[in-house]
This record gives sequence, structure tokens and C-alpha cells, in this order.
Amino acid sequence: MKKIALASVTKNFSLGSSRGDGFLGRILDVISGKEKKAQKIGVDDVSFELDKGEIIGIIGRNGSGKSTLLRTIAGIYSLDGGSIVTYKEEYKNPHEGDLDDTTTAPASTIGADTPEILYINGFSHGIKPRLTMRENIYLVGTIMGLSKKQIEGVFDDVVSFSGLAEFVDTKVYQFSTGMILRLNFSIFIFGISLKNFDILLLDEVFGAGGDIDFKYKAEEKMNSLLKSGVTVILVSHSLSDIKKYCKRVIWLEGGKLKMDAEADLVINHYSTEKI
Amino acid sequence: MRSVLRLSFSLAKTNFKLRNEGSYLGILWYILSPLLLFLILLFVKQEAFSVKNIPYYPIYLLSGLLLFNLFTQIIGSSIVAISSNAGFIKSIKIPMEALVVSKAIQFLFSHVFEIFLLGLCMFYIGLPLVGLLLYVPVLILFILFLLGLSFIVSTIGVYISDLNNVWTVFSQLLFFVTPIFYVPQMGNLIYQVNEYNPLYFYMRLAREVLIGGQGVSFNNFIFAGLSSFVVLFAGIFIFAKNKYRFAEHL
Repeated sequence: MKKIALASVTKNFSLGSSRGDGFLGRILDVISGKEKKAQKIGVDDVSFELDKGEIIGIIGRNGSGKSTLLRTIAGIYSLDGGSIVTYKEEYKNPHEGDLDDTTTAPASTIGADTPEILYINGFSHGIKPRLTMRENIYLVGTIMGLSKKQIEGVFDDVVSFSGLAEFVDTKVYQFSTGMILRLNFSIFIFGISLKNFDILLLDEVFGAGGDIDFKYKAEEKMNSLLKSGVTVILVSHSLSDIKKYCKRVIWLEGGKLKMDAEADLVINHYSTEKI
Repeated sequence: MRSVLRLSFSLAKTNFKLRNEGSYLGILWYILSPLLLFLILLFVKQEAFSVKNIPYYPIYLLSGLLLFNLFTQIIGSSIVAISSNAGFIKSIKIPMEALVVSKAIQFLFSHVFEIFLLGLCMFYIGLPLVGLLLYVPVLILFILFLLGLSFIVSTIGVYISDLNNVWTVFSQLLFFVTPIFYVPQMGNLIYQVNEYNPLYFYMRLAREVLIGGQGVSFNNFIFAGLSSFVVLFAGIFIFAKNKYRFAEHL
């Protein structure tokens, strides 16, 4: 039933020279003999496994490696050490269980059929203010990997959910902030439910914005999406949201896994340490 | 592959629409700007140079100008195609090839407008329009070459942001070194340099098919095709090798 397995995942960033990246700075570095590059540890030796349909939260202070970890899983960052394996189908560990049917689940199936993974940080990506709402729905839909047909199929739902039906052919720069938030959220949520992603990596996506009515609607929609059996990793600073959706929480600190346990326990420790 | 093309087209369409959005003449600018530059150069040539006659000079000039435009627009925008989309690339996983391919498609769109202009001029001067038909394969090979080069420069652009500044100067140099509005004198330095100028190579091929004259040489065609594919595959290879490191350098 495994979906994602991380083993001692490590990711480092080189911070560049102490004098910055300019040409002059580099020359000065060479002359002064100080060209050693500083290294920043992004994620350090993190291992955990995730089952299908599980929703886990990741918490931690700013710069503790939460986004880095998600981006590494999504393949946006390359891996410096360890391994990340994701499974499309449910995969039984051959070493688990009592039967010695190790031959039925060969290691070669790993990665043969890569699952669809979505990583998203916030909502507002790809929206062009100078295009109309209609054009933007098609654009952002395509960015999310939907085909034209799929977007056409879901177009009316997006519009009616956003409650902006009368502005479909208005250019988005004339929208209010709240209207743009509504639009973003609507495209995003319908895009995800259409694409049938296997794994969702959601980085600070709470707070859809909008008024009370929309907030309620959005929460309900988000709830049904997260409970639809998809495997989810949530990164958020909103502990109440994490508590609401996740049974299990991982606490990162300085790139290291500090705690991996039941949500209430981890959140209690995390918030008491803060004080 | 399909999703790359789909996204490329979508982004190209968007940028094409946005480029002249809000201006009074809108889409007309796609024809107006090359036309105006063409007229200026035509006027300057007549007033300032006393070079010996080039047959069908307006077509010679316009075709050179259009190919030069295509070259500088695609390469210039590809240099920053990845590096200017840092926020985007880090926030959602997209096939990054699309950011580069979309630039080629976008300027190919606008080139189609310019071809109309070219056809109009050829008709006015009395050149057979069959040349335009033969121009299509030349254009395809040129685009493939540019695409390969785009992949290379967009990769370098991630690591060396100075490339953009170098490019501004270099493209000016290229405008004067490449025989766009003049014919190089056999044996002089400019002539020799242009023996190694790929832009001029495709330009010469385009002029051969458009203006005719000494006829189309089959060998040049084969060579153009070969170099297009070599550059294209080299570009794809370099980009693919490096793309997993892009995000952390942005």
C-alpha cells in the first residue's frame, strides 16, 4: 500500500561566493584566495514512507526545508543523496508479509509507471491580468496539464463555482483582489479533481480568500478533494488546518526530521517549544 | 511530448496577444514595425550608398531583414526564457521545454505576417510567387536550427546572466556583419567572416529560393538540413542534461 518512500533524502544548495555573483566579486575571490563556496543544507537525511490515501502535514519554522523537500519529491530540485521512490499502483513490499513471494513484486516495477504528481505553491500562477477571465481559465488549465477538451468540459463548473459568471469576458486586471482569489481557487480545485493526480504536494494553499460565503464553499470543496483517496502532503503554517486534515505530522527543523508522529502530539510539542 | 507542445502553443498564443495589447494599432504592429525599418533602410541605401546594383534589391533587403529579425527575437527571448520565470518554475511543476519552444512558436506566428508583406512586395516587383512555396522548407530548417540554439542559450542564461548584456551588443554587431543590406565583396574580411555565419548561410538559401538568380543548389539544402538537426539535437541534449539543476540556480 506504499505510495511514496523517502530514504535519507539530502539536498544541499551552494550559496555562491561571499562577495556575490558578480564578475568583479569572483575576481576578488580568486585574488584573495577565498573562493570557497558556502553550502546551505536544505534537507538532511530525511526518511519516511507514505501509504495510499494518507494525508500528512509537514510543519516547521521558516527555512526548515519544507518547500525544498516537496520540490525535491516533485522533481523540481535534483536529489543530492538518498532516494525517493513513488508508486503509481499500490505496491506491496516483498520483504513485508510472511509469504516468500518476493519474485512476484520485482524491484524493476519501481518507477516503470510514474505516478502523476502535482506540486503547487500558492494559487496565483500563470494568471495574466491583461487577458480575459475566459482566456485565463484556458491558460492556467493548460499550465496544469489539462487538454483543451478537458478544460471545455469543466469550464462552466469553474465559472459558476467562482460566482463570476457575468465577468467571463472581462479582462482580469479590472477584477478586485477577492475576485482574482476566487478565480484562482476555482481553476485550481477543478483542475486537480479532473486530472486525477496520484500524489498532491500542497505548499501553503490554504486561505482561499474571498468573503465568508466563498470561504465556506472553498473549504467544503477542499475537504472533499483531500478526502477523495488521493495521497497528500500538506505544508502549512496554519496549525489548525494541519490538525483538521492530517492524522500524522512531520516536524522538520534545520532540514532534519525532528519528529514523525500523530498530529496532536507533534503539534503540541511544536507549539510548546515555540514559547 | 504532447503536453510540451500543448503548453508551448498556449504560452505562445498568450504572449503573442499580450505583446501589442492595449496599443491603438494592436496586431497591425506586427507588419508595421518590419515595414518601417525596411523603408528606412531602402531610403538610406538610395541616398547614402552608391553600391553597384543588386538585382531585386528590395526583396534582397526585406528577406535579409526578416530572417535577421526572426533570429534575434527568438534567441534574445530564449536567453531569458528560463531565468525570467524563476517564480513560476519553483511554484508549479511544468515542462520547462515549453518555455523555450513557446518563444520559437510565438515569433514564427509573427513571421507569418511578415511573409505576407514579403509576398506583396514580390508581387509588386514582378517576381514569381513560387519562391514563397520553396521558402517554406528553408524556414522550417531555420526554425529547427534556432530551436536548438535556443535550448543552448537558455541553459547558459540560467548560469551566466551576463549573457543577456553580451547579446544586446552582439546582435547589433551581427546586424552590420551579416550581409543584410549590402553584398559582401569577395575576399575581404566581412566575406570571410560570413563563411562561418550560420545566419548568413540560411539567409543566402532563402534568397536563392525567393529571388532565384543562379537557381537553388541542392547541396546547400542538404547541408542546411544536416546542420539544423545537429544543432537541434545538441540543444535538446544540453537542455535535458541541465534542466534538473535549473530551479536551484534561479
